[in-house]
Parts: sequence; structure tokens; C-alpha cells
Amino acid sequence: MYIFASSINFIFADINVFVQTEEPSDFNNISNISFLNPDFVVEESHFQNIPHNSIVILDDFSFKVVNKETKQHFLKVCNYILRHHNITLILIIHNLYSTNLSTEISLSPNIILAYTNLGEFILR
Amino acid sequence: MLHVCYRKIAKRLGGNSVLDFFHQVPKNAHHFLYINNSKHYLINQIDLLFSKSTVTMFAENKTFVIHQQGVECCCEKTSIETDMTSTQLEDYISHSYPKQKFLKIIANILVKKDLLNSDLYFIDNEKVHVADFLSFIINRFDKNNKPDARIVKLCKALAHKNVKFPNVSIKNPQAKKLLC
Repeated sequence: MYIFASSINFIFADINVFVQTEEPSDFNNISNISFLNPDFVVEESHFQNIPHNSIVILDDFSFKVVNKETKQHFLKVCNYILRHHNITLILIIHNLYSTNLSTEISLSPNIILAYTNLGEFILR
Repeated sequence: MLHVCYRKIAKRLGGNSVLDFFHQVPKNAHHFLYINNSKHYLINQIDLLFSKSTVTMFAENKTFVIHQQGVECCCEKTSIETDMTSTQLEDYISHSYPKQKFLKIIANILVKKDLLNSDLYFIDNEKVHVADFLSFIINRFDKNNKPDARIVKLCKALAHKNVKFPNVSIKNPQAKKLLC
């Protein structure tokens, strides 16, 4: 399941792509790719080093620490950094509750769902 | 305030018809549904947008077909195809139900509204054949048995499209409620 937090209309070839994943081989076909450290989180300080007009893909995303502060950091990045730096954030998730995104998903402008029970559950 | 948001994505985008649109693609098919939450539209099988001739889009309770410019829309049948479907259907009715004269009216409506494909399955619900549909609507004694859910779903879809049939041609009381 993919959540496109900014824009889906892009061409990977001309854009810098930053990926955090445990399976780098899944992204072999993308050029201009850089891998992020496993400790990269959705916070303003981590996004300062990401150039404008780039794409950030976080595979198997989940909030490592769940509290009010982390959620506020996440919303600040989505509402301010992504918008003003023209960065596209793509979150790839495989379920909803263990990732603690059940509220945030409704704020995402672009969502891509698989045709599964989970996809239907999210849509309902 | 953000913490009191609930998903209810389907409700925001158009209610139960959004779920019907989602169910048009079989589960566990390796395709994806795209939801644009800000512009309020959905596209089925978005991954096929640039490879398949057509994909379907849902917005404001209406379904649209997206296809390449210059390519003939899949929903528009040629007159030859329409004639073949009509002949096939008339042959079937005259052989299977020679005494049911009103079924010809139903056949004409189904063909005129382009509801059937060349194999006489319903375009909107490819699991239902016209033979099953006809046997359902002419069976007046079907009060106790639970009808096939797929046919009831089809009848509801036809009612949603404002497809109406003459009262005299439909015997089944449940079908009558939806289709007359």
C-alpha cells in the first residue's frame, strides 16, 4: 500500500530519490537513488539535508516512538517542509494500526490501495 | 483537533457507491486503486493507466472511462456488434421462452442501452449471464427462496442507472420492485 503525500505525477529519471528500506534491491530500477540511514525519521531536522524538488520514499514506514511530539513533527513536515521545499514523501505501509497512521491517512491527498481486505477496510 | 479525525474515506467520496466501484476489481488482483483525497475522485487499476487501453474513474457518483486520445472508446460498440448481440439474444429467447412475448421488449432495452457484451454477460457485472437474469425475472414463485446475491446486485445497479422495464414483462416480485 502506498501513500503519496505530495504528488504522484513525477518522472523518477530526472529527480533525486532518497529511499529508506531494508530491501535495496527492490529499488534497482530507479536512477539517481540515494539510500537513507535507518535512523532517518520524519522530522524537520532530518529533512534539512534533503534537496528541494526531490522524492523521499520510506518503505515499511511506522512511527518508532508514538507520542504527541512525534505526530506534531510529522504534521509539521507534511504541512510545511514538503510543501515549501516541493518534496514528495511516499510512505509504503502494509497495515494501518501498527504504523499508527490511522488518523494521518485521512489527511493524505493521494492514496493508493491494493485490492485486499485491508484496502477495503481503509476505504470504508 | 487533528486527533479527532476519523477515516471515513468512502463516506467523503460518495458513500456505498465508492465501495461498489472498489469491488469491480476482484480482490487480490495485483492492481491498485488510486484515491485523490483533495479533488475527490478514484481511479481503478491505476497501474494500467499507461499500458491498458482503458481504465475507469469514479467522481461524484458517476463512472468515467479514461482512454488514449484517438483510440475508440471500449464502451462504444459498432453497429455490427450490436446487431450480433441483438440476434443472439433474440434467438436465445425465442428458443428458451417461446411463449414469453414480453421478453423481446426486455431484450430490446438491454441491447439499446448497451448493457451486454458479445458473450451476453452484463458489462457492469461480468459474472451474470443474461440467461440467469431472464430466469430470475420471469420466475414469479421465488418468494421463499433467497435470490442469488449477484443478480440482486445487478438489479440494483440497473435501477441506479434508471433502466426500467415494463411491469407486465417482469414476474418476480423482487425484480419488479427494483426494475419497474
